[in-house]
Amino acid sequence: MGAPTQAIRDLSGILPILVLWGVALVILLGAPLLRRGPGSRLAAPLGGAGALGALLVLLRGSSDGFGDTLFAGAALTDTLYSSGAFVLLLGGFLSVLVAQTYLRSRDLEKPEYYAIMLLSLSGALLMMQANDLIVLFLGLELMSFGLYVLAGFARTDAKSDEAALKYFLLGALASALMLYGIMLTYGVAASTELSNVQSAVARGALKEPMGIAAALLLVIGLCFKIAAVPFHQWSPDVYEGAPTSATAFLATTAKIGAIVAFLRVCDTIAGGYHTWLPAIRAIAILSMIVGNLIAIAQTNVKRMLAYSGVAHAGYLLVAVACMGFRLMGTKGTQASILAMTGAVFYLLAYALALIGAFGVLAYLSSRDKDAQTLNDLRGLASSQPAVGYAMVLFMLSLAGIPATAGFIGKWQVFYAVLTGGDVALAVTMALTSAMGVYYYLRVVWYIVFEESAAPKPSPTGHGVEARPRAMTGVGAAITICCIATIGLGILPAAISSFLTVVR
Amino acid sequence: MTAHLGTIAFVSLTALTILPAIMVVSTRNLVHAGFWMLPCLIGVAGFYALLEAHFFVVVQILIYIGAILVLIMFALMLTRDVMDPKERQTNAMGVWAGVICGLGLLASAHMLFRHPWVGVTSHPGDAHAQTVALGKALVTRYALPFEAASVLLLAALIAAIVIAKSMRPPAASVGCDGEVSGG
Repeated sequence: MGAPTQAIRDLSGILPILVLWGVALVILLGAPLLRRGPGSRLAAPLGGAGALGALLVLLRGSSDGFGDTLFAGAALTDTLYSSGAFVLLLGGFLSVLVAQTYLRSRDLEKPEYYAIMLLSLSGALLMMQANDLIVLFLGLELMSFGLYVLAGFARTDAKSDEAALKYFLLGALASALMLYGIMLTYGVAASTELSNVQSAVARGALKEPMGIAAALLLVIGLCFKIAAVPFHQWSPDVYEGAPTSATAFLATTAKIGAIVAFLRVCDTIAGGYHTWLPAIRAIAILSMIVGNLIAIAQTNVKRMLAYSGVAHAGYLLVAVACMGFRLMGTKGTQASILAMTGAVFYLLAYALALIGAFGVLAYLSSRDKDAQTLNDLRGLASSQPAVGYAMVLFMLSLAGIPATAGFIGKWQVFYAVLTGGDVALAVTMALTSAMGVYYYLRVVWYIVFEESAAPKPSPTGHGVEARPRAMTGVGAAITICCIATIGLGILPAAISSFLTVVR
Repeated sequence: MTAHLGTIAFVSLTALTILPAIMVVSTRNLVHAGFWMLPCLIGVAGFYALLEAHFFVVVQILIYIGAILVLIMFALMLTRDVMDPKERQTNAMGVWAGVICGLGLLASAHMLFRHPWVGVTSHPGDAHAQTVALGKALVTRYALPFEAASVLLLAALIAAIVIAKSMRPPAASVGCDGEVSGG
C-alpha cells in the first residue's frame, strides 16, 4: 500500500518540471497550427502559461514537504530548490514576454522557440533539484541544449550562428570536463549521490589527488556555465550574437541554475574546503576585477552586459565561497546560510534588472534595426521617457545603488561574507562594485544627458512604432521588472517568505 | 593465469579501441572516418564483455553499431561534400593544445594508477540477474534521470530540426503578403 503513495509524492515533488514538459509537448504537437495564421498568436501565451503554471504549482506545493528526497534519492525538494525555482520560473515568464514582442518585430517567431525555452527551464529546475551528480549533469545538459539553439535562433544572422556554435563547442568542453569530474567523484565515493559524496568527503576523500581533481573539474564545469574568469571567453560573443530575447533568457537561466547547483555542490563538499575554497576565491576575485575592467571599454550594450555578467558571476561566487565556511564554527555556519539566502535574492534582483535591460533593447528594436549600442540609447529619456528611465533604473540596480533590489542582493552577500570573516573577498567586492558604477552610469549619461542621435524619426522609426508596442509583452515585462526592482529595493521583506533558505 | 589473460585482453582491446579512434579524428575522408568507428565501438563492447556486463555488450552492438553508426554513415553519404579533404585540420595553437592535453593525460594516468582502488566487492551476477537489476533500477531509483534523458533527446531532436531545417525566406514573405492582402 505504501508504494503508490510514494510514487505520488515523487511525482508531486517534480510537478513544476512535469508542467513544463507537458506544455512544451503541447506546443510541439500543436506547432503546425501555431506556426502561421491566427494560431501564431497563441504560441507565446502558451509558453508564458507554461512558465507561470509551473510557478503556481511550485508555490502551491511549497507549503508542505521540505527536505524530502524523491525517487529513492535521485532528487530532492528543499528551500534552496524552491526559492531558486521561484526566481528561475519568474525569470522564464518575463523572458517569454520579452520574446513575444522581440521575435515578432524581428520576424523570427516560431512556436519551437517557446517549447525549447520551457525544456531549458525544466533542465535548470532538474539541476537545482538534483540529489545525484548524474541528475545534475542531465539537468545541466537539458538546460544547455536549449540555450545553444536559442542563441542561434536568428539563422540568417552570421553573428547568431557564430554565437550558437561557440556556445555549443565551449559548452560541450565544459560538460565533458564536468562529466570527467563526476566520474572521478564516483571513483573516490563509490556513488554519485550527494549524501554519499558528503560522507566520503568527511572521510577525507578530498585529500587524495583523485578527489582534488574531481572537485576542481566540477568547479570548472560550473564556472563555465556562469561565465566566471578565466572561463568567460564565450560570453561576450554569445551575448552579442544571440537574439536579444534569447540573450536575456540564457543570461538569467544559466546563471540561476548553475549558481543554485553550485551552492548545493559546494555545501555538500564543505568538509574538504581547503581543496576548493582557494580556487573559488581566486576565480571570484579575478571575475570581479576582470569583468568590471573590460566592461568599461565596451560600447555595445549587449557586450557590456556580458562583461558585467562576468563581474556578477564573481559576486555570486563570493556567496558560493561562503559554503566553505559551513564547518568553521557557528559564525561560519551562519555565514553559509546567509549566503544561500543572499545568493537567491541576488539572482532575483539580477534577473529582474537584466531581463528589464534586455527588454528595453528589445523594445527599441524593429524589423530592420537591432538596438545594441550606446548610440541606440542616446537621448532616450527625452524621446521616450518611460523606457529611458526604466533603463536608468535597471542600470542603477545592476550597479547596486541603494533603494533598488540590486543593492539589497549585494548587501546580503556582502554581509554573509563578512560574517564568515573573509575580509579580502568583502573588500574586493566593495571596491569592484564601485568600479562597476562607472560604466553603468555611462549608460545613464547617454540616456539622460546626450542629445538624440536620430535627426528626425523616419516613418518606420520608433517614434511611430513605439506607442502600440507599450501594450505588448515587452512593455509588460519592463513594467513588472521596474515595479519589482523598486519594490524589493524598498521592501525586501515582502518576498522573504518565498526566498529564505532554511537549513 | 586468469589475471594474465585478463591483462592481455585489456591491452589488445585498448589497442582495438584507441588506434581506430585516432584514425576517426585524423583521416581526411569523412566516410573512412565513419568506417573507422566500427572497430572502435567493437573494442568498447569488448571492454563491457571483459567487465562481465553482458547486457551492455548486446546494447553496445545493437544500438551503437547496428543503429547509430549506420545512421552516421547515411548522414555522411547524404552530406558528402561538406568537408574538403584538403582542408587543414590543425591551427596555430595545435602544438600547445597537444602539449597541454598530453600533460593532462599523463597527470590523470599517474593519478589513476596511484589511487588505492577498492576493487570489485561483489560479483555482478549472471546475465539474467544483471538485466533484472538494471530494469528495476530504471523504474525506481533511476526513473527520473531516465525520463530526463528522454526529454534531453527530444530537446536535441527539436534543436537539430530548428537549426538545420531549410529556410524558405521567399515563401515566408509571400505568406505575409498574402495575409496582408487577405486582411
